[in-house]
Amino acid sequence: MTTPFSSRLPAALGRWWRPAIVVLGIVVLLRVLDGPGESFWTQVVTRAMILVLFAVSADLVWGYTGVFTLGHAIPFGVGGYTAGLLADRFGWSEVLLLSLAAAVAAAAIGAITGLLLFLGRQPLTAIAVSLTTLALSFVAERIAFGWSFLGAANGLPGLPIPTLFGWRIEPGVPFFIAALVSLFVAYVASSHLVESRVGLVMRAVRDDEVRAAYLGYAVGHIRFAVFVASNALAGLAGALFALHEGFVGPTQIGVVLSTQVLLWLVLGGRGVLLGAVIGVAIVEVAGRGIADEYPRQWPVILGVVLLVFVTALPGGIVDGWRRLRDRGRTGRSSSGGVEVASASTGSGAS
Amino acid sequence: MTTLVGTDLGVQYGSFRALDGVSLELRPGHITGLIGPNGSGKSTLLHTLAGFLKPTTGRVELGGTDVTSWQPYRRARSGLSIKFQVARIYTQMTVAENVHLALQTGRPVRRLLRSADDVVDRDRTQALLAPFQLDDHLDVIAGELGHGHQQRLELAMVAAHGPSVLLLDEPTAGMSPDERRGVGQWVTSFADRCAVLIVDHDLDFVRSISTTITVLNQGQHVATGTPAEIEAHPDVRRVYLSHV
Repeated sequence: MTTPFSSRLPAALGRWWRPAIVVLGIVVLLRVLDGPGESFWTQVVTRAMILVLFAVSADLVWGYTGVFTLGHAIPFGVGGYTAGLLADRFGWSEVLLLSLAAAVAAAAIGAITGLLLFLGRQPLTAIAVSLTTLALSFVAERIAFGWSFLGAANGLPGLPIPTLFGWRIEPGVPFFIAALVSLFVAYVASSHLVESRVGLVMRAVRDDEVRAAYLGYAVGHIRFAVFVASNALAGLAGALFALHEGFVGPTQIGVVLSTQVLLWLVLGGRGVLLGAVIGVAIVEVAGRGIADEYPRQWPVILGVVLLVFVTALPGGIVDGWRRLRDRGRTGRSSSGGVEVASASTGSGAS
Repeated sequence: MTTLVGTDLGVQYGSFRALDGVSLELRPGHITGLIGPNGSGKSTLLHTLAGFLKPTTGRVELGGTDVTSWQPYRRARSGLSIKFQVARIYTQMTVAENVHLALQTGRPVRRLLRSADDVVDRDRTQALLAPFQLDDHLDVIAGELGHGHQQRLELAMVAAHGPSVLLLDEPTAGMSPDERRGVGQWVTSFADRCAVLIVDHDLDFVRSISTTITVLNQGQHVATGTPAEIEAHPDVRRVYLSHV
């Protein structure tokens, strides 16, 4: 039976009030940290929000659909370079147009790559997909390093400040708002997607592609569609990142960033959008202080943390927290004599 | 109604012939039992018919169309469904979600983009699960079910898919005698609507529900006939006696 929209609305509002309070808290905190006329922490958080957008796009393709891509920086870089070139060489400044062009370019690259990866006569194995995307990421980085049209090793520095309907989107509060709105829209859309029946199919493809195929799902087509959509989102993130930093360079398309985004998901948790937020928040915001203080030791610390997570908490922080919460609930219900646990496990006894 | 026909099917791994020129026809309303000693090629034949394995020789037709080169999802969309030897269910999803996946196949994407209950009716899911005594387990995570329940859930999924050809690879493996009887009754009633191929090590079970039995040995066809004919067949007796 379909739920009327009027009764769904309060439920939707109820769902978003917590994130809204968190965002409000961050805004207040940033005002306190930055002080009048400063925007250092606002820019750090803006950068992090753009990277969350990037991580969400990676989660859609890896966390939800099971495509372990090692080249997710390619659409990010393609988006960045597209926006950078259009702004720098062709004088485009409208952020909506630049973002749209970046998303389209990244989606187009994703479609070409996806054709090769998922729609061939003999679909590639999971390991072959990973190795191919890794190789492509390496190639993309080398092209960016060597091609003077893209600024070669120097990239494209000094990108002009973008505008929105004529208003300048300066780094600081204006860009913070632009990034926040972009992230909110992308997050809500992604959230709706993964919680819909399409999301159920994506998880089915991830968990057992053979069973999914024998239920009539065209696994290759589904992976292709998610891959292209995810590339478009990564391209949007890449454009915003380039415009915020005023720079796009080879590191934004290469192997290191491709693995970094996976690291955020490993830490935060994959297959759950909140994991992308937490992973980026830990590494790029909380970890920033440590990285600045101990620049040489930071990669080693990060490596050890990653190792601990992969071996002890493969589902990431969100999964760990859920397990703790569930254990607490089970403990409470069993001590209180409620038969929740026996109802579920007992079913398997016969 | 759809018929599945395998003609002169052969599967070769290097110098080893796992299947050697076997032909088989599955007709609507019939339950075909496929038996043979270990390594006789039963699973290879079933997987070849399903499209899981590509035959080295021969062809597979579904409803008169050559589907030999079709990928599994196309065969599934044309009415073929399979229950695997080890239950392939989604252990991290609920029982209801597993069935929904089978029910919603072929729905347009814009409908699937709607949330949860707008797409598949909960009552219908419950009705589908009832013959498998899983209708009061809708919100249980499938991985928490016992082995027999998981096997039955997979049967519910293939039933929900609404197949015209059903391939069952040891559907009663690990089940209690009561559960086996229940599955047997379900398969018999379901066969009214489709063609069924069943592979099982329990010869009594196969004999009790099959209308036709095909026997394989060392990748080759030995005999096809009614259960009574197969029981009396000298070649079949020789095959089974040589493995005692």
